[in-house]
Parts: sequence; C-alpha cells; structure tokens
Amino acid sequence: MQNAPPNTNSESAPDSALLAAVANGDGTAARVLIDRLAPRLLSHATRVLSDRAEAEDVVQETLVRLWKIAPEWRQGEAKVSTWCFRVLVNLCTDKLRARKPHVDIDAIAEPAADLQSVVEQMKDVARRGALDAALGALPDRQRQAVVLRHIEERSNPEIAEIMDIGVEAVESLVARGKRALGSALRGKRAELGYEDDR
Amino acid sequence: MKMTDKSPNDTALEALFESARAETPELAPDFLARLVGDADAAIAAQNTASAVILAPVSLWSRIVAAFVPVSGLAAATLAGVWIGFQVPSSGFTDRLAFSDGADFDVSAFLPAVALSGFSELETDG
Repeated sequence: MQNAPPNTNSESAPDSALLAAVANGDGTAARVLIDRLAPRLLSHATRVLSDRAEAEDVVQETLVRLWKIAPEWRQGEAKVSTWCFRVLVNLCTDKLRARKPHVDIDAIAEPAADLQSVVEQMKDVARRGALDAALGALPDRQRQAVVLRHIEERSNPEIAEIMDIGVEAVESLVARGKRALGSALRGKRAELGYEDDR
Repeated sequence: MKMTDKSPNDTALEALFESARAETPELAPDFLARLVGDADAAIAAQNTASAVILAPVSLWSRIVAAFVPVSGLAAATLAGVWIGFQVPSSGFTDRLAFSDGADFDVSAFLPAVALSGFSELETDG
C-alpha cells in the first residue's frame, strides 16, 4: 500500500465506499481516506488542544478506531467524517480533562477578562495567532463548538451529533463562544489590520 | 443599522475565521507514515482473521456438508420403500378380510366378559 498512489476512482468515491473497500483489504482506499480526513481532524485537534504532538496522537487513535470498525460499518447510517469528528472530540475532551482532572469543564464561566488579557499579549502576532490565542482561552466545549461551526463549517445538527448534545445547546455554545471572541478582539481591530472594516 | 448588517467586530471575526479555514495543516512525513502503518496493520489483521476462519473448512468438509441434507432425504425415501414392501406380508390385510361380503355377528366386537348384571335384571323384572 505504501507505494501505491491513490487512483482516480478512489479519490472521487464517497467516504463510506472507501471504508467498505478498506474492510475488503484495499489499502489504497485507506490512503485516500487518510489524505481526506486527517488534515481536517488534525486542524481541529490542534486548535482545541493547542499541542501539535497531542493532536497527532488523537488523530492517529481516531483513525485506528475507524479501521477497526470498518468491517461492521453500516452504510447510510452515519457520515464517516461525522463519526471521526465525534471520536476525535471525545478524545480531545479526555485529554483536556486529564490536564485538569478536578475541574468540571462544563461549569467554567466565560473568562472574558482572561480573554482580554490574552489578546493584550498578542499585539505583535499575526491574525491566526490572535484567533488561536483567543480560542484557547475559551471554555473547552465552547471552543470545540466554535471551531466546528466556523472553521470546519459543520452544520449545527451535525455538531450536535458530534458532541452528543442538542441543537439548541450547540447554538448556545457557539453564540457564547463568538460573543467571548468578539469581546476579546474588540478594540484590537487596528492591530489586526481591520480598522477599515466598516 | 439594518438587522442584516454585521458590526465591524463581527466582520473582523469572520475574516479571522476565513483565514483559519484557508489554512490546512500539512501532515508531517513521519506522522503520515504512522497513519499509513496503522492502516496496513489493521488490514493485515483483518485478512489474518478471515484466513483463520476459512482455514478449517477444507474442500472435503464442504463436500460432506453438501451431502448431509441429500443423505437425509435418501434415507427417508429408502425407509418408505422398505415399509411399503414389508407390511403386506405381515397379515395386516387378512385381518380386514371379514368385511369382504361375509356375515358376522356384532358380538364378535364385544368383550368376552359375561354381562351378569343384565341377566339379573331380566329375572327380577
């Protein structure tokens, strides 16, 4: 498999068909799925965990679980990418809980003041750095929801499925997260090069 | 401001999101190698498991298994033929011959016990 480049048919096939091919021993299909899924999963995990090595670990574990479930995958019941994000989000949550084992992450209040201070420290960094820093100061579930909604561009029902919560809870998390980000970035538009956006 | 208008802050935030969306992380070669290695190992494990399941089922086992339902049907057929040939010689039909036009008495079908009770009733009456 290592030396076989993905063929054109595999690259245009839906994820579920590729997973069925993997279950039948097709290594090329697995490679296409890796190329398709891993970058987005890694992007999300890196933003949520703020640690590249940990992010790679959870992406690797997510895909290992995908290969294991491939033979029992039921076509049409779920999107492969949604299933992967669900596993990834849970693994990220486990990592975050392990960092602060005695804190209920859902009970953390919005740290608006901390966000402000974080952005204060980002005067000379690039826009992406500022966004990542502001995201990093959000409560974990708000951060996951905002990244899924506004960077991964997942729909609210899909995020609800990924995070195993209701659609209204997703809307609430995203709205609070965006409000906190907006508050953190307010007054920093000039530094980030947005002073003419009116 | 109209309801559909975005605040400058929203616009700035959306621009940041857009910038983040455009950024797709490159997979480091060693990380990609780990992912591909995992996939190879999983596929190899599945193939091994399939081989273990199929290995004990040899060609002869499959042939014998295919004859099991056929042999049951053949045995039932032979048993039916054997019964068909054996029963006539056992005298079963001879015992039914009394009905072939011959006269017979109903008492032949009654038990051989004396009906003494009835005879006493006849005497008293």
